[in-house]
Amino acid sequence: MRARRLALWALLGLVLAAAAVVWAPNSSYSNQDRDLPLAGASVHHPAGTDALGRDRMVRVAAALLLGLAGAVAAAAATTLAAAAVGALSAFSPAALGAAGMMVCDVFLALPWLFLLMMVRSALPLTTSPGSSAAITFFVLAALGWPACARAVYRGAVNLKHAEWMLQARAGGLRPSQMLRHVMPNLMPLLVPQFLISIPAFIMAEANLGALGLGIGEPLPSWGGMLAELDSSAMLLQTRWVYLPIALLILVLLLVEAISVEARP
Amino acid sequence: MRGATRLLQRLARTLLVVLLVVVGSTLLMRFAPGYLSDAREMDARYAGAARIELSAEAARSGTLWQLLSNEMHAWTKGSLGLSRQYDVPVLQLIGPRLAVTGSLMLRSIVLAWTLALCASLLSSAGRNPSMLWQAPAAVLLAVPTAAMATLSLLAGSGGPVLVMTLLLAARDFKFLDRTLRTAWRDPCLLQARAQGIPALRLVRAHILPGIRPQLLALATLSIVTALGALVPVEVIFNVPGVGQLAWNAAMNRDLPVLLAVTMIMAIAVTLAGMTSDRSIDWQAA
Amino acid sequence: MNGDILLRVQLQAGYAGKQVLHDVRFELQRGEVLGLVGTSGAGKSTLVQSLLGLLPWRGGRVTGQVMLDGQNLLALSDRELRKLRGRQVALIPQSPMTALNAAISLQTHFNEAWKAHEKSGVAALARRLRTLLAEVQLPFDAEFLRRRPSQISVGQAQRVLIALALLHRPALIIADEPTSALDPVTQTQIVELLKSLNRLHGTTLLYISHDLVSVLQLSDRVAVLDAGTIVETLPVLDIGQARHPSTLALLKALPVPAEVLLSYRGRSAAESADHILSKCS
Repeated sequence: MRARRLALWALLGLVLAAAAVVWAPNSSYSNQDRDLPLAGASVHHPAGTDALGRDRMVRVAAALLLGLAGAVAAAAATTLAAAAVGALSAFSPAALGAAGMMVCDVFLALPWLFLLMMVRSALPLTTSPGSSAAITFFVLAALGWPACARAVYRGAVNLKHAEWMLQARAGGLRPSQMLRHVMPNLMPLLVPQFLISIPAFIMAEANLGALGLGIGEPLPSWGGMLAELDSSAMLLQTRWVYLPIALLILVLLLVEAISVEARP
Repeated sequence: MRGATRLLQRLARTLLVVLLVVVGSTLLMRFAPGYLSDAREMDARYAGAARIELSAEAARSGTLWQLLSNEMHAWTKGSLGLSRQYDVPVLQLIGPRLAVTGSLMLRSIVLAWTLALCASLLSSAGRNPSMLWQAPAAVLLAVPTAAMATLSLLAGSGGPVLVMTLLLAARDFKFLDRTLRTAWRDPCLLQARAQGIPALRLVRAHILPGIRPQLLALATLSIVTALGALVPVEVIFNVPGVGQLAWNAAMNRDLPVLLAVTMIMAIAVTLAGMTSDRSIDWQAA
Repeated sequence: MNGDILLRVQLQAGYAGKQVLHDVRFELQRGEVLGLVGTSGAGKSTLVQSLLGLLPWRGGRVTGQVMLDGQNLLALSDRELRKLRGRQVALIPQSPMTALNAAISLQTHFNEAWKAHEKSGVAALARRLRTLLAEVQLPFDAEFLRRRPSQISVGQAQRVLIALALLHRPALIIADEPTSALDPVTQTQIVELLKSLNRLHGTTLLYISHDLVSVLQLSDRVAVLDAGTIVETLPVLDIGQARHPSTLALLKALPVPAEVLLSYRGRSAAESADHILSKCS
């Protein structure tokens, strides 16, 4: 428990620091300082600049915020969708439930990276970076819900046969009232799924972006910064090029630590 | 007899899922907003010709029914559609690369299983989750595939097999460790120890038979994870496999190729999942 | 009874933060049956696990001495202890259905238990099983042995566990509430079985139970475990002289006075039933 709280505070600290960097006056993630491409650390640019002369520190901070915000939003959307589909399938007649789970199976069978690539590349070329970010996370959410829905379905079916459910129905409760009784029991299933989805989505966006299929330039993202690593010439110039990857691993470890439940 | 009917049921369900996948992907592709636009449209020199070609294609695949029948025709004829980029049947592009990808995946999966099994057997015999084993696994799982591949390439050591093995082993280890720990806590293990059965026999005769369904689920999990890690690894290490083909197609918006590759992968995953029991939620690993 | 002490126990045990057994002392003579009674939560399963050296496995700690035939079991390494478990000391557990591995057949259970201590092959095991299964009144039949634990009844499962315990003819058997999961008819049969084993083979038996009735039927001496200590030990025929409040509470909970139950000792269940019926008519 203590480790979990420490991780949460550390993550909050990072987020606040990143926000301070991004919204400091005179800092911009797309300002190109043409005189100083690939520079090392200096007063103006504490972590150096990238190939186009943009300040690395600001870009990394912005990527952290964007990645985290997008992942959290996508995780929330995916958990809600999974809860809805799972619960509805469980409480409708058996045939509908089986059909719902069949749809889940179909989604689970699709290799998600290929599907992501397919959807991403099927989009028109003229999408703005903002909407490309939104679309990337939307697609991640749309592909993430089936796995969680399966777990919710099973949990809800178990609830359907629980003793207290029988008691409630014997007492003549209306279906909408029963929903209010069911939801608190599903929370223990949903919260861990939500917490686990966040690092998964951050990773997915980073992998997509590193392949060039993620969030468009000049908006900074984990994937875009990882793509920088690819050209080895850069590494000879400055060690700061490792900052994004180190920070990403740290953020992922922290989020994982938060989502670990106390196990007996 | 019961085993045979169950197998047939599974097979029927698998085929149904595959059919839905094919239909679903085709629909998804066709009605995506950018399907009928092409990079060539942007270039003034080709714009005119491109537009004519694309409208011809639209006419061919106008209605849903036409589209599906075109698709089925392409599949049965064995050409899997026509690549927009190279203008050759897709099958010709995929064929030689399948062997490369297959060998890469097979080697990584086998190595990863061996590594994960040994590590988890050693780790789960201890009383509490030991940091020695958990920490490396956690770190490995926190590094995006692309980053690991790039770092390994730059460091000059290790290759595609090593990167994929490490990734798969970390995932498998987490799953196996949890499964084995639960198995060790079973009351029947206490009784078996009270009978004085030595540790190795305990594992072989008492634990392994009980976790067989989980091991099968692990097989499916490995294949799905491997497919996910395939594209970054192949692209960065420049391995001429199916993943690189898919990425190339994605970058150049060669949607027929991408569609065909995705469907082949989906079918492979579904067939692999046929053996494992649906009730095990392997995604939770 | 030849006054030869087989087991001398003096231990304290507990889990992190909670001491369960404060000072448990008792002795077992070779060939006797010691009945250990106590209410739920008194620490009976902790005691069983401590004696077999399995408590650390469950996250607990044991201090003190467990002298079996002059050897302190608590001072031995786990490797040496393993050689004794099943061979010198055997355990009959409380819940037969969870103590058997649902994924393997009964024959495999016997094979594994045999190979743990014997180098001779399956033929020797088959010979041993023939007599053993007859003793516990189970069929010596390939079809039966091929079954899995889920395909046999609870009573049969308990008999299988007794057979597994007797496989290597141990000197000491610890029976941890062996009848609590069974119906009354099967309970009586199992108690009779344990009685006959003690009489025929002279196996020393530590019989742990919360059911004083069966303890009075089976044991030579009774020890009462209350809140982590043995508060009273007396020969079962002198149970009327018990003085400790826990013992008196247990005696008060009996359906008939202890003397009545004791007068039926030494007779088989069938004889006792005939005797009662003849008295009534």
